[in-house]
Amino acid sequence: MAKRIFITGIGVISAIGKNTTEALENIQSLSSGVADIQHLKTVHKGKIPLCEVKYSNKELYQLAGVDPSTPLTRTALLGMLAAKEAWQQAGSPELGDGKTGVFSGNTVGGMDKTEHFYAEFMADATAGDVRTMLTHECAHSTECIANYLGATGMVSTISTACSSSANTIMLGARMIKQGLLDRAIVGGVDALAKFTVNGFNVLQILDEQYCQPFDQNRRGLNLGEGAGFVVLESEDTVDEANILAELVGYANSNDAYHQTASSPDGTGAYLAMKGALDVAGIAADAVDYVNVHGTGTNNNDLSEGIAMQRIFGNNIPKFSSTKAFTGHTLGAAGGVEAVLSVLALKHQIIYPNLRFETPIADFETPLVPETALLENQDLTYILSNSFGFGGNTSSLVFKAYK
Amino acid sequence: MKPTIYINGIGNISPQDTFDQPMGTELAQAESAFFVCQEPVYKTFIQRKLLRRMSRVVRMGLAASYKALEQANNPTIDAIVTGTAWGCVKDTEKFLETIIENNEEYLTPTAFVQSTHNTVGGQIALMHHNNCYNMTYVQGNVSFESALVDALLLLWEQKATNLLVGGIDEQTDQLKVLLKRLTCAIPEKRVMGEGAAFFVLSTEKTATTKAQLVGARMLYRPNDTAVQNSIQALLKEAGIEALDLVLTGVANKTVVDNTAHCTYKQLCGEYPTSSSFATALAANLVQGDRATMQALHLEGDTPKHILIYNEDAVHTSMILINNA
Amino acid sequence: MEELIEKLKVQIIKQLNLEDVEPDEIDPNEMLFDENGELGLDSIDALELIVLLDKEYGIKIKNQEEGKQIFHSLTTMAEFILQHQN
Repeated sequence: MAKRIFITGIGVISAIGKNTTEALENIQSLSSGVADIQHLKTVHKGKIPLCEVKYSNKELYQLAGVDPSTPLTRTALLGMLAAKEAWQQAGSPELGDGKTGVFSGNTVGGMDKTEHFYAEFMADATAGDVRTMLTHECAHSTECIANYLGATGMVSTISTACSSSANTIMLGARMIKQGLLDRAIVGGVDALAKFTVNGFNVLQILDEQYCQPFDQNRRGLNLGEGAGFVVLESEDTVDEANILAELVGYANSNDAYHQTASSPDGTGAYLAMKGALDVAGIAADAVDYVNVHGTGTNNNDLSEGIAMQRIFGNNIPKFSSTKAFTGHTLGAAGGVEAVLSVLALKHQIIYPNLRFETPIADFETPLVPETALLENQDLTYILSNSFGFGGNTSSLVFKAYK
Repeated sequence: MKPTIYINGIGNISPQDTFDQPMGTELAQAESAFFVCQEPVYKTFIQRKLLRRMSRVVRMGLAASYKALEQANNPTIDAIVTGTAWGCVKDTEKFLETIIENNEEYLTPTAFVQSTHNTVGGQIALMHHNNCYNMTYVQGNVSFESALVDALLLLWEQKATNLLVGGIDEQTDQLKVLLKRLTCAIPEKRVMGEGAAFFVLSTEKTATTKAQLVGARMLYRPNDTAVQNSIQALLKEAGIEALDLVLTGVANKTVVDNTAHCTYKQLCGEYPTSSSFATALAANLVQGDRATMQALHLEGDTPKHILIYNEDAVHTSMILINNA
Repeated sequence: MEELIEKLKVQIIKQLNLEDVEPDEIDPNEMLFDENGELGLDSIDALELIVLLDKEYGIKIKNQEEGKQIFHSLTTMAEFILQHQN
């Protein structure tokens, strides 16, 4: 009999705040995190808005209580903060017995520091502090998180673009179910860097204005940064008093259509959603709310919409994209949105899809997201989608714990 | 009851002559501080118009996966799991260099798109029109072990009957410069390598079965007790009392008492997913492959139970291979 | 015009990394973005060509939609460049 997997802690840092309380406050006051670029040094400052975490690296060191002479990337700092919030909420359990896994999703590692070193290195192959390269790999920030929390045992990092942290959540659950672990701290982190801003810009999928997910006139996405982590625990060892919600479904598929574009019939998205519902053992009509991937690009929103129609027919549940608040946090997206899904279940709310005006014309039955914050809901099941480059598509299903 | 897991196909691109046979008879030597792969002619596997966008690491991964599938008689694949620590280095460098040189103008989208770590896994899925589970692990020296642990989970969960799992890391000229500066690469003393090794794992034993994969473990900052406990747990899973050989990435260290030890990195160099190369070696050895025995200066009986072991400052890992 | 087309062939081969493709293999009137065509270019290549036009000829194309018409064939590309180059 498969063990139940409970969530006992959540932590998030993003453009809408340094923890879950601030995130919720900003959502309730409809304050999006999109703004002119403040921290990132790029020629695009003033031209493209971003969803930056509103703290400098110096301030992040202070928040984390870490000596600023310790060589840490922005990625590591963000991850440490969110993971710690989740861990503390779960009762700050002792993590040194090898029964806890720490799995983080990340795409560009310590690129925020690497790109500075590389500029010096390119000018002169003997120049620059080469030890920066030791913080470059994706694994580095995960190890920083594990060390910060005193975790030994199993640590790993998944890098599957924008589905990375949804995939770590799935991995943690599967490890617990197979008896390899009792607990897993899972989610992901990504920090903004010139590398990613320019990459998305050259693909022409960035919005020069504030993004409008699922809108007919959407222009692209706003890049964001941040970290979102949850603590998963086995039903065998969990303290019931700590349970926030339950993770009941998860699946990963591959679109296998194109390196960056989603298939016109939304195959990967469809398979991911269907797979997650199957694992959860529920029919589509049991879903009360979908936190869509909803980046605001022409391609994703259309493809995801088509996949939703394939799953839900004409009975599309209430849905919204929270990326209008947080931006697209890349490797952290799955984790950030998992935290928001758990918060939604805890507080029985549905998030508004900001700046929505006109439904996408391609759909005969219009796909209209929620545009107001809805409270006092009766939510049992939430479906959360995360779709990435390389056709990597993942979905998670969360259940309210009553 | 957990199903027995078999290795039914191997595709191994390494600094040795390992693509068309388990091991070449003439051993290649490293040049100074670097060991570079002997590569197949990619045009024989991949159409020219697809090949042109693929960086070297993607070509290596694709070719190794094709070979593994071919050896296993092309079964339907239910999952693709890869491990890579360095990722798509060339494309990352290319995009970064252009950003710096051109001050964020005239940038090439292809390099950015190909720089994501899951490009190899994604391309394999694309080439085979495969919608199955697809995962990429990037955890330093346990990237391949992470992929193996996930692959084993899938097979035990019965989510997969046949799957592809692989480890891959590429060197580039720039990376070599950096590795030297970091004193990871020291001419004549510490050789850095690269490689791509892919395996078809299956719950079914077939005519192409080469070995049994008993299990894999990766430990983060373990103490000696935790390491020995893991080894014992693996032996118990295999139902054996003792090992025949420890194939180790660490010279001059006794991992298991009263057991023959043999290093492998003198054949492939040091790189994060070198244990995937060692897995191919171990699978060859349990079949009694002479050339592999000779390459490792092993004599006597064919080893039947082999523990692959590796460690660094924070990670310790082990993989247990049995004859099938 | 001829000269520009020959120049474009070399530039495109380089920009798109068309290994083993010789300039005389490209038919100037051939549809570049035909999936089943010899070259089989796709949306990422279209973006690369947009970068090429900006870098080599100083012509900025706003988006892929605009690019689709211009990149129909080498001939249409050359015509566009001659019309718009400063």
